[in-house]
Amino acid sequence: MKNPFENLSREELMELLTKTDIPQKWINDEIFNKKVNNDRPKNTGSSK
Amino acid sequence: MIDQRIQVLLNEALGVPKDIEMFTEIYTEMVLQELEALRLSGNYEEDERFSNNYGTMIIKEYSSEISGEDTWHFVENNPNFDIETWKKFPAYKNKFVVLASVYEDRLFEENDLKPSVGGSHSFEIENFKITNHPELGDIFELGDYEISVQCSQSQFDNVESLRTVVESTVTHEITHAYQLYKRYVNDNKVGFGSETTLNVMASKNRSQFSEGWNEFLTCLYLSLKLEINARIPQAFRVLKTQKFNNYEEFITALKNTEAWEDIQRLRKFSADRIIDELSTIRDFEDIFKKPMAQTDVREKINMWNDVLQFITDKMIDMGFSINPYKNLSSNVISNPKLFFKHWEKVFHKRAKEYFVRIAKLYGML
Repeated sequence: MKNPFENLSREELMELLTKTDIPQKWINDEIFNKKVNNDRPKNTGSSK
Repeated sequence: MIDQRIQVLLNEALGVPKDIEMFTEIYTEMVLQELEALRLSGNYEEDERFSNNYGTMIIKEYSSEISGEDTWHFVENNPNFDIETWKKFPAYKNKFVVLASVYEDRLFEENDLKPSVGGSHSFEIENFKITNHPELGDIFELGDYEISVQCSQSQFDNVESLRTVVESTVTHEITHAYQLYKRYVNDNKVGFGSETTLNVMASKNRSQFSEGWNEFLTCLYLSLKLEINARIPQAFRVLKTQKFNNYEEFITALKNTEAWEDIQRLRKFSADRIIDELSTIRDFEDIFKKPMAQTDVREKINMWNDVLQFITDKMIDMGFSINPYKNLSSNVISNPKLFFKHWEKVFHKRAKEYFVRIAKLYGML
């Protein structure tokens, strides 16, 4: 197994180093999906 | 006077800074106004998602960006703006991204879902400095905020109903900015220090195969002191909107906060359960999945020290202030059960500290 951070660009790594609360989104999604059983995205992006 | 006393107690007991109060109020107002402007604009993208219970759902996705110039304009013209208070935390021209995902009402009503607000704060290390403004004096450009609301149509139609949850997330993110500011001013250090390495690990090393590993990473994130420090004022913002006659009522209200969920999650973390999850075959799918999960987790643990050392080295190269990484012992690294036991102890200790700190809020509410 490779170091998962090894191939990140400087910008990608910098974003990880300076951004807080990335995992909070997973926590919120988990709560939401658990309650709604909204388990698989169908498609995205159709505009109004 | 009572408010002042509360603030002083809060500062002393919890390290919740009075200096962020003004920004919390002003930025909350700004985000709520932006949400209302988004609603009135009617300008959204439609996102289709499928639910077993609801079939295809249409979600309205709103998005906007408030430039640093505009946020500062909003701040300095807000009736709550006080230049002397601001000088204690002279944040200047911070960009905001405001997002809203709006769902059908029935989804929230039938599932007892509350609106949730995610947030993040980020900064540019190249601009991480105090500069002198000819009129304002010292200013500190701390970076960008993202506030992301998930709510029902009715909640979105009444933006004021989102105030508490928006405010609590805004104060959480401002606390992060304040942590960075104080560390820089007091110690001339850039960044959050060694906890950044664990935050990065929690943000970008999830497993495709093991839910137990991902739960471990979530607990790792929740156990960070920088996180707990931001979650205390966040909970305070929610609890202060409620009235309590006694400690039991306070605990009942506390049990409805995200902080309580965090504490329970840390308390319930179990090394034995993860090991059990990795080794027990419960259905046909597990016959294929579990060996991959075991290998994946073992490799992630084997690389633990190397990866954290790699992140630490990169941080030093990029100009962050960070102490050398202290390795976990080879004994702990070589045995997944010992590895998770090590972290179980850390998480349970942090859960206790988190609870003690949040329980102290009772005397201030």
